[in-house]
Amino acid sequence: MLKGKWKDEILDELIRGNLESNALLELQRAAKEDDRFDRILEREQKRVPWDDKIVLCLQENLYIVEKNGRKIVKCICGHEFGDYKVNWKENALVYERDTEEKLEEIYQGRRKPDNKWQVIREFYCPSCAVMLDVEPVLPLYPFVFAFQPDFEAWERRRKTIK
Amino acid sequence: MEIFKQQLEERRIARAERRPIPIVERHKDPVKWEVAYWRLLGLVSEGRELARQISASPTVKEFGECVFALFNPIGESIAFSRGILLHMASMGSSIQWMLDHDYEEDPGFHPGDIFYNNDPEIGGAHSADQAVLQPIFYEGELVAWVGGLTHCMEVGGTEPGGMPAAALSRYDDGQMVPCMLVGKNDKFDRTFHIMCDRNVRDGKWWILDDRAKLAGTVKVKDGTIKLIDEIGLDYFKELGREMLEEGRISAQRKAKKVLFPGVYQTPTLYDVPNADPSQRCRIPWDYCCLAPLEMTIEDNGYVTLDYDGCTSPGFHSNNSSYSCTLGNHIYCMLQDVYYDGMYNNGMADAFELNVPENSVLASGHEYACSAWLVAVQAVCCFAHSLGYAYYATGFREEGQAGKASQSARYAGGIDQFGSQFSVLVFDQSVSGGPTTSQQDGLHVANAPWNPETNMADCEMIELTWPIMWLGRGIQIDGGGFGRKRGGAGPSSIYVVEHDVENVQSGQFGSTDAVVWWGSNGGYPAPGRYNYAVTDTNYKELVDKQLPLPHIEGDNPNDFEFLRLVKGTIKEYPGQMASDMYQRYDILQATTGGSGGWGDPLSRDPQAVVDDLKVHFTSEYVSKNIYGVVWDPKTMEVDVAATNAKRAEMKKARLARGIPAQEFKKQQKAKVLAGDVPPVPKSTYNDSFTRSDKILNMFREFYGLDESWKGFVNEKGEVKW
Repeated sequence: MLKGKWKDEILDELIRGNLESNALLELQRAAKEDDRFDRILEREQKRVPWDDKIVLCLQENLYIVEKNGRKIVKCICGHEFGDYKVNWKENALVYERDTEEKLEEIYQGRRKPDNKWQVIREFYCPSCAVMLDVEPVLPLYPFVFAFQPDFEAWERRRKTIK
Repeated sequence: MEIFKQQLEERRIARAERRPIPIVERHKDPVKWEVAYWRLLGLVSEGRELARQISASPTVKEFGECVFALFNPIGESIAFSRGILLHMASMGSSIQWMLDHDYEEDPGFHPGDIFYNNDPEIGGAHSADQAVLQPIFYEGELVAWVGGLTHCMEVGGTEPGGMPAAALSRYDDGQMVPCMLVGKNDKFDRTFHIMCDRNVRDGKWWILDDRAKLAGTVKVKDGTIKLIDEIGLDYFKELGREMLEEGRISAQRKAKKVLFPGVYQTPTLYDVPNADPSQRCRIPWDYCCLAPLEMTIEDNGYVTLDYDGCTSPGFHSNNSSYSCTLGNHIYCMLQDVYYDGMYNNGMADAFELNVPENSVLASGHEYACSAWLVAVQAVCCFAHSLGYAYYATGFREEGQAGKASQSARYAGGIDQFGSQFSVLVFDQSVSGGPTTSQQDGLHVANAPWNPETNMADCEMIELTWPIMWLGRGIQIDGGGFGRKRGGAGPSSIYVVEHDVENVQSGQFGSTDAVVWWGSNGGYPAPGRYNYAVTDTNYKELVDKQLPLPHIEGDNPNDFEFLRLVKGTIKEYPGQMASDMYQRYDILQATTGGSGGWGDPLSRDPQAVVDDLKVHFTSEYVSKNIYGVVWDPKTMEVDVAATNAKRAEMKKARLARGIPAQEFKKQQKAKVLAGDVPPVPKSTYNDSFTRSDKILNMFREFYGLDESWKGFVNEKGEVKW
């Protein structure tokens, strides 16, 4: 078992998303440790301004936490999106760029797509307004469920590793 | 008796059952085993370098577009050189196709035979990728195959350059050589090359690259026989089997460690604007291809990639053969996950790729594959799913936003020396590097299918065509915006400099659509385009020593290069069929950038201003996307004003954002009214009629019952 390889400060910087190039290269080149998942969860737990137990870092700013025996999606700001098996986007704010004017605000001139072919869909946290996802999709495409974790498979895997 | 055909069948069953191969020799003597393994890798690398050094074509010599591999007798690659990793699947597919089609009986396999394939449906991406395949015999027994593949820049297609964007069917793709026996005793049949010379615009690229490939395969063949002399035939055979299994084990073990189990989705789009007037297309049907990836990662690290609901093939050049789609996914897994394992065909046993038959990702016999960009686009976006899988396990030093696809400019005609020419250049293939949670994407980095791709020196290419570069630059704001911004691709400006007439030039590649997925709140990279200015005052500018256009400029609504030159401006899509140009006409080309990572309002303001200082980003984007305020004289960030501006921009988001459930109600009304533009409607109906998956996804999302079958026409039919 490869454990405790990196100092807390390194992992904290990794979590902040600003690891310096040489340290990053070192992490990329090294054999992957067996305790990374647990250590990242531990460091993230110290960072967030609430106490619910983090069971998975879903993406930047979004966590799956255990609350009252349920696993729910929670924003770093504390906003709760509900059951993790339901796409969190169902409870987000949506802004669709479906006209030339709205697309021009982001992609100018010929860099913007044809709004008759596709739209750009932005998802915001209803509390802190952080942008959580941007979908480049056909008009009317259902919300993309980018990631549905399989916790049972994860537990099975951890048993075999241990 | 067809021994190998039978062995291949047995192996296919074993693979389907995920049956492991026992590892014996590696455990007995790991050092001996490793030495033999590295010698095999050395052999194929030697073959590649030899071919590269003696090739006369810029594609191979300058761009590095070649690859060599050693296969077992049933076409599984056991050792692979660097280079076009895409072909890990394709050359083996060609060997297996020969076995499936009874080549063992007729024409039979003999020492020194030269088989040749560039038929993408058999094995490959497009007719420009040409493979020499030679059986290796030891004491009269066929014990292995060696394959050498190069990318040729002229194939006799409907346009010059070997990758005709204007191709509408297989018969526009150029000369196909479907696993033909084209030489014996290590010597090409002279009449084969006479045929090649007669059927293409400029036969020297094809013929000289063939000689380079043959030199490489003979070198690998001789080296393999020498190695067998040393280690013994039985050991060589066992080594091959165990290398495959080690390839599978190392791949699956890695995925098990770093990718979180679950289901991931990334739908990819690729637009084909055939009806754009600039394309003058004889089948002017627009397509927007949908490749809806669903990736499942199991507890044991096994990965399933499923494209159920993928668009049908069409009358355009962006279809892909199955072997090409598989090869694309192999290199993506190799570069992004399996990179520290043993790389060979065994890796492909660690994942399963499900692509519907007769789809744009497995297009069958009739369809043009010269540009094969839907498959490239799909794997570029596949990185988006892998990024989430890495993030969840905590390995945030890995994982990326959507990668950049790429383009290539091509031209043909009569050159400055009076000879027919046909050239493809790769500066547009070296696109923006991927963005991670830790780092901005590298500008002008590489092409995913060949990590060694080099854009090459302009001066070398200028010897081969009558066009000169006026400038090669990093496209301003070319990557997606985000906390970490995407890498930008190049923007090049060319001039038809020499005294020639009727230069035909086009560009295969990137789309107008904005499709290079950002991640975690980052924007996708912008869409692509091409321009030309004809009947220009270029000569006058030169004679009077006035400023020439060297870069695109930082304002997409007022490009600098279009301001500096007077003439007739022509606009083209990101992938363009060729047009005709004359002396002093100016051409401009762009290629893909990668998606951004994270909310752009979280980007370090200093990083924005640093980009601004070196023209990687524009003032418009710095202010309006990143919300940064700076002093234009000192170029210092005004922290307080930036914080205030960003707070205002977040308030604006809350004001304009619609609660998702309300948004869905509005969208559902459009679905029921059939209020969807014609091209997406056609795409959807195609998917709905081919597969229940996308249809059921619609029904579930919008709360529709089974009576809803798609967007019906006036006759009540769901047609695309």
